[in-house]
Amino acid sequence: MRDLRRIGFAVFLLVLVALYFVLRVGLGFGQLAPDLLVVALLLAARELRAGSAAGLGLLLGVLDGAVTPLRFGYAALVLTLLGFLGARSREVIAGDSAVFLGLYLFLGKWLFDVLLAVFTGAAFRGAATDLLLVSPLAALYAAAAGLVAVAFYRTLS
Amino acid sequence: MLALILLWMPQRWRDSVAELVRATVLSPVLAMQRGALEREARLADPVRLRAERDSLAAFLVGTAALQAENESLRALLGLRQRLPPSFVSAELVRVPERGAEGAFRLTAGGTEGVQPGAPVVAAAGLVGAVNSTDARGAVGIDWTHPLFRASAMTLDGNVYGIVEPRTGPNGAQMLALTGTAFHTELPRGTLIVTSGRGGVYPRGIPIGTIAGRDEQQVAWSPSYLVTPLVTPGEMSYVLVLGQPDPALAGRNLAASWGITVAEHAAVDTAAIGAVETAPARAPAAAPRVVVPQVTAPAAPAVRPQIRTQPVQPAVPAARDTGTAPEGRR
Repeated sequence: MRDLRRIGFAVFLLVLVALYFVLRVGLGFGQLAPDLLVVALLLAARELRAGSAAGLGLLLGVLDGAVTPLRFGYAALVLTLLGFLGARSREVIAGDSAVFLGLYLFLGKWLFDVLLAVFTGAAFRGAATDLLLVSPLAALYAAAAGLVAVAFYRTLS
Repeated sequence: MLALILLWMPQRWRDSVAELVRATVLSPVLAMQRGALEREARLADPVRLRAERDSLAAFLVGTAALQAENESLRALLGLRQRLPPSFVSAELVRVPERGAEGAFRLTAGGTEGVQPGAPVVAAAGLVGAVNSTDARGAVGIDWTHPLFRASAMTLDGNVYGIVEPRTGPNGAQMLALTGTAFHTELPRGTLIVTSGRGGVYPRGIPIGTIAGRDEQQVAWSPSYLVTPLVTPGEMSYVLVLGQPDPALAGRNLAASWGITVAEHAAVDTAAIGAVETAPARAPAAAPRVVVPQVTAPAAPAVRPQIRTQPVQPAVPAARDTGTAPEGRR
């Protein structure tokens, strides 16, 4: 039963990742589509050990970097860190409510944008306004999409 | 640790890994992207034809954008005929992700002979350069990207420098001509073209016009703000250098943009004192008209032009690698 649940969760994450690439790259929606890659990683990190979550982050980062020119490597590093921190966050905060999950996804996505801007150097080239105005909205969007996806998954499982 | 290794490994290896991922796991997604682009292009054609048929009605409802695109394509077609045959046409697709501002994908790639470092031009002038390629496309950066650099000069070749992106007054995206000699003074409107030094960009591709001194820059070598000739909105249909052409080495491409530089006349000792180094510019074929900078008042055509010294950089110009050094990222 537990294995079945794990497989179901893995399929759910796989669908989120596939949707991310189809919507953002395949259909060309770009940032109009929510960042389901980060959402998938953050959700997985709550279930995995820190090392595995970091490894998953690296894998997703390589995939993301392959379709985002000049960001290859940076996305991998940031997603690895995010996976690690997401898994570690279980030791600090535990909760399963929708409010907690929404806040977790919101902060995780915002942290991803901030770290990416810092590592790529965009934060020092005048992207601070972007991080304070656009990133929170993108994080809110991702959190909302994540909550809907989780609710859908829980209904099915 | 693996992520750090990935980050610090040479660009060539990173490109190889990215290409491997694109060719395997992500190939269906990229095929879907190509399909979407093709469908978009197919759908756009009837719209364009209908707009041409109903041109009068289209005028009334305002088809400024369509007209601009049409003009851009016609200008590009004209430029394509004047440029060496090694330039191939391509469609430029923006990368909408954050952290990839100024980056784009081209629909021409390795199959068409496009190689990393190949210059990308539009009907009005320089767009940017190709960063990496795969069989069916290429990735490049335009002049708005922080890593963009190009060795540049004035049309007469008297002032050399490096152009790099800069935020101008009111946050406008502009370029800056840096590294010029201290004693030089460039008037507004002076045309800046690529110098061909460094071998990344062929000589004579128009970049922009001088907009004034860069007041923020305080240094021994003055910087000038440059208004680029190609705005980001005009970067849709471009030409990119395909198979490297040895004949392009040292060739001045300015004539392809309708720019002509005055021939040096023989020295007339009787006219010494009437020193004039004014380049002349023929009517531009490009849609944007660039006012030529004539450093002396209009003179009779027969007036001899005397150079006191051969055309050469006023100061040794840095070599142009097409991008900023790694340390400045």
